[in-house]
Amino acid sequence: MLLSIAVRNLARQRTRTLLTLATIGFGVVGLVLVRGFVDDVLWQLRQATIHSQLGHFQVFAPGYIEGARRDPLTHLIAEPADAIAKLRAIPGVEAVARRLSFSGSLSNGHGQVAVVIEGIDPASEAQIGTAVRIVAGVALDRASGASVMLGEGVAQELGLHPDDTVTLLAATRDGALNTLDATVAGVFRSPFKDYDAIAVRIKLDDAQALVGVDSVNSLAVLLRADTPVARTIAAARHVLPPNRYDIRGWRELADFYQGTAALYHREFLVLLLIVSLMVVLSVSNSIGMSLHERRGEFGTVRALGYPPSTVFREVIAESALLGASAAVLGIALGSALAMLISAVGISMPPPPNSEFGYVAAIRLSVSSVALAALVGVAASIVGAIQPARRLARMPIVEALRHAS
Amino acid sequence: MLICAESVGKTYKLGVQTVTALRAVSLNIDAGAFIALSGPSGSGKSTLLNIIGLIDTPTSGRLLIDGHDVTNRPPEVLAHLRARSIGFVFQTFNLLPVLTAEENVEFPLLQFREFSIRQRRDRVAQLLDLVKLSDHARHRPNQLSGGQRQRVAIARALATGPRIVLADEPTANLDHRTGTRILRLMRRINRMYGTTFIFSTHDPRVIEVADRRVDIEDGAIVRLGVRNGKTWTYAAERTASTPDDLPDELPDELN
Ligand SMILES: Nc1ncnc2c1ncn2[C@@H]1O[C@H](COP(=O)(O)OP(=O)(O)O)[C@@H](O)[C@H]1O
Ligand SMILES: [Mg+2]
Repeated sequence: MLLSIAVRNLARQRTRTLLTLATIGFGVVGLVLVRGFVDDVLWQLRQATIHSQLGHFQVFAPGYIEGARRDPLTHLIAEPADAIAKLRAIPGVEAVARRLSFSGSLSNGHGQVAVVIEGIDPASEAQIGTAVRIVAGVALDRASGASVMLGEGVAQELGLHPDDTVTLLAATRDGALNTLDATVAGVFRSPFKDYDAIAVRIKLDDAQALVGVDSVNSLAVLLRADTPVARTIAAARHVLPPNRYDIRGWRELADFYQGTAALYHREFLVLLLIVSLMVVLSVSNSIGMSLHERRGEFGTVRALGYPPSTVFREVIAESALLGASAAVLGIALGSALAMLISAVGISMPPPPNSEFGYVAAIRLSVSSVALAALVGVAASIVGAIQPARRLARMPIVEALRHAS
Repeated sequence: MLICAESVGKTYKLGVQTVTALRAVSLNIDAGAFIALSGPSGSGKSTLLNIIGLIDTPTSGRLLIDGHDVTNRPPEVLAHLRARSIGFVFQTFNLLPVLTAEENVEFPLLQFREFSIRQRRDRVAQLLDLVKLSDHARHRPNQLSGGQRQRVAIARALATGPRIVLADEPTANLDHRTGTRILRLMRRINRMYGTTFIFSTHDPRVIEVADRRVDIEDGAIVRLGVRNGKTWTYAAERTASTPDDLPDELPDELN
């Protein structure tokens, strides 16, 4: 009956209840939508990151990550063929791409630019790099002889086009300079402009010959969709012992993603605080007014023997009920709007560091919806605490003076 | 002795001023009494009833109920004592507007786990029958007349079977006829169950239903009276002695 009293009291002041309900509800809707948008943006960024360069995780020789910039050729993967075989045997692994990357320069007789030269397996790389587009020419594996794919920025810098001839220059492992004459097979564009401005890709064999090594410095691993990444990394660490291999998840390798995610999460947190504050104030105000009008009734309730603690609990329960109803409505409305917006799509301009605009959606997840609901209910309870305490402490005689 | 007030005083501080609502009132009330607290507006009737009803605290003196000093008990203890021992009837009826008549009567019982739903229903039905409102059980307060509301309030006051029912100006918002009926109903309950009733009024005609009267003026008891047929026998003027010191004639049965 106490619950039904709470419901009836809420129904009694219909306008005020609806207004508060709307405030909390819109707060919840806002959280669902914004969180869903952030999740989608980050999801797309994650996909772009994984499917342009990183794969889901990578295998290095110990010390490579720390020393790569100075000398990428001294930390090479031991027995790459064996490591690849072991990786391929792990369930969920779709492709393993060998890479040998080092710095060098590229010239065409008119000019010269510093580049990062990546020796790759064109076939495996194509499986990973679905976010990389070829904007001119053809892929490496469709070109014969010594050929090179240029990042779009590199091609622009030197005004290069497919079938132009270029010379790659790099230091061998022993410190000697070596060159490779190659034909431009094509030009690629990844989602990351700064990468395209320095990267050129050649076949792994050519790269190994250029710098005089017979191994690689990383293995990029692509997983099949819906494979749990963390668990697969754990499995990989199990078969490739840490004293010989250093395995890093994509997130660890993606500084840009980390920075962006941190930024978005901070902004979402700010929104969360604003919404919470808004709900707390709104509830506090509306419950406060309602209790003020009903203090005579609470005086009666206390005269009849109910202790202050019960009065306090009643008020909190009433507010929690309001918050819960608003959360349910907010989630329903928020989810409906999310689906609608996703169906239409939000056209986004290219983010900084990218050439691609994209279409964002609202990703709904159990955790984001639950968080929004939790905020709605918790803020409703918090907002009711102060008015409830004031009411519970009011002298009975004073409260009764306002009974009618 | 059911209720014993010993030099109970109450003052209010309003800024630098001190308002004295009660000055050292001493009063003993036996179980089963049916007492009118009479006096002009502002004389301190409500203050005394509120203190006896444990919803207000005296600034001096002691209050004993059943011989137990209840003067400085914490709010939760007082709440429990009220729930068990004291019923209230208010001038403005004070029914909870969202509850029906029967729910209002049931409301005080919800504090006690020991009553099953069935027991509560039976008790509510019995009480509504007592106040002759069985056919209005499902009505909300705003669908009832003033007299009917006050009858629901009486049923509610009796719900937990208290030994004391306090009624502060229970007839002030009712016409004279209805008010007299309400008091006769209380009187009958007093006779039937031995419940102690203390009501306040400033209406001399309403006092006629009581069998004892305590006259208050200016925060002090000025005289105590016992019904003697159609007239009153007064014990003393300006005294703090108790009704027990008075000739104990049984008043006429009213109603
Ligand atoms: N909360 C209060 N603050 C100040 N004075 C009060 C308060 N309550 C009652 N009084 C004063 O105490 C006196 C007695 O009041 P009350 O008990 O209500 O009288 P009655 O019920 O006989 O009309 C009055 O003078 C009244 O003004
Ligand atoms: Mg009064």
